[in-house]
Amino acid sequence: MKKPVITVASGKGGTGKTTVASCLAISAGQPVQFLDCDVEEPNASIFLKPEFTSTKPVSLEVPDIDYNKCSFCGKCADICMYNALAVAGDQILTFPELCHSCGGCWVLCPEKAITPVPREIGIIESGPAQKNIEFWQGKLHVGAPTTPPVINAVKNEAVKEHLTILDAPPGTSCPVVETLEGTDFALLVTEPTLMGRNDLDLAVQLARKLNIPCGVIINRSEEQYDIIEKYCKENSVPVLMKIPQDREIARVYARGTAPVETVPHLKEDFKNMLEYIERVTVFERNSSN
Amino acid sequence: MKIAICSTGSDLNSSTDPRFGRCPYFVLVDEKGNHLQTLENESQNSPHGAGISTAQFMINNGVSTVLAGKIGPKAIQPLLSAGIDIYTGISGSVNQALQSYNENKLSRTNNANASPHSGSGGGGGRKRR
Repeated sequence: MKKPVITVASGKGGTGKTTVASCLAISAGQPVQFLDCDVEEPNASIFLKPEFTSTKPVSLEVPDIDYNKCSFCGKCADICMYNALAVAGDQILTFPELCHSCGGCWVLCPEKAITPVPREIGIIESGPAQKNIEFWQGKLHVGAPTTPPVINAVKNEAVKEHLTILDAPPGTSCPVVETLEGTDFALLVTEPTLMGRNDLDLAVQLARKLNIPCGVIINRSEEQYDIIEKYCKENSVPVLMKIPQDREIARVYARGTAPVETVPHLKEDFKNMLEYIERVTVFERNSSN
Repeated sequence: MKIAICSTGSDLNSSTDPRFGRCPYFVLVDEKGNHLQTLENESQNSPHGAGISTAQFMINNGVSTVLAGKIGPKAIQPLLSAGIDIYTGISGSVNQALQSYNENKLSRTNNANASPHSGSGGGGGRKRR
């Protein structure tokens, strides 16, 4: 049976994506590939403590000008929506840090004076973490313009025979879409606040647009605040788990340990949730075939 | 000779704008101070590289001198490459800026005096693209 690829996402930042993703990986009781796709601030390594054994660069192609051919017509600067080129006097100035590698300039240059050259924008690192976890993370270089190519590179390294867990960046924009795309389940972590609900709604809408089944984990859950339960009921989204607002969980977390390592019953809860997700994804796969 | 002054409005009495890349108008005058034309800055709301694109706009319009409040590290490169003179430190109205220029009170510069993105609106949080 093919194992599911699960993205842990949130909408709102700081709800506990990385904590949940790490707990899920540790509780799985089977080989796991863990991909930290929050390439601007990868931090799952704090909980999973991998030993990195391999590093690979991720590059983006940027324009290089051949002055023997260039006629200074300015078409390249004209079409660049990121303003990464400027025609000034007898120079074509390029600003590779602004280039999104769309390829427009080298495709449209009438003199064929522009060739794409690679520019490193980040790295991907990998290595074994505890137990059966194969850990991968992407790291975007400071000042690099786009995260999706690095996220994509991390995802391409995944050998999809094991259970795969992706730790997504916060938000619902391009990097999150890039992370979610092609995965089997969106596990959405939220908290019982108005902002938690607002951003959860955005994440649910995104998952639905991408045709990815989703479920919700309420973190820092307190019985008297049922704002998320109400939302989920109204919108037919399953609440898969509640992690209580608990001093012990906070204490363990603050020491850089995944709460499942020490808090009783939590591991069992994660394992049960994983079994549910596996059933749902198998069902979805069969019904879509 | 075309002198471009960063302005918040379209005529010589308008207030100058301290920003270069994101200023709304450029009031263009000749060396005698006669108003030639006013250009609306098409790049003022550009999400990326407004300074570069505004510099390109100056070059394409044949500007020879720019009077600005501050100018950023990317915007200044195309201007210098194109041989455009840059004077910074303008304030008050466009007329007052011109007067300061004529009295040699503005400093000519080859270096940026604004930090990157300082002309774009603030806004905290992680920028998501």
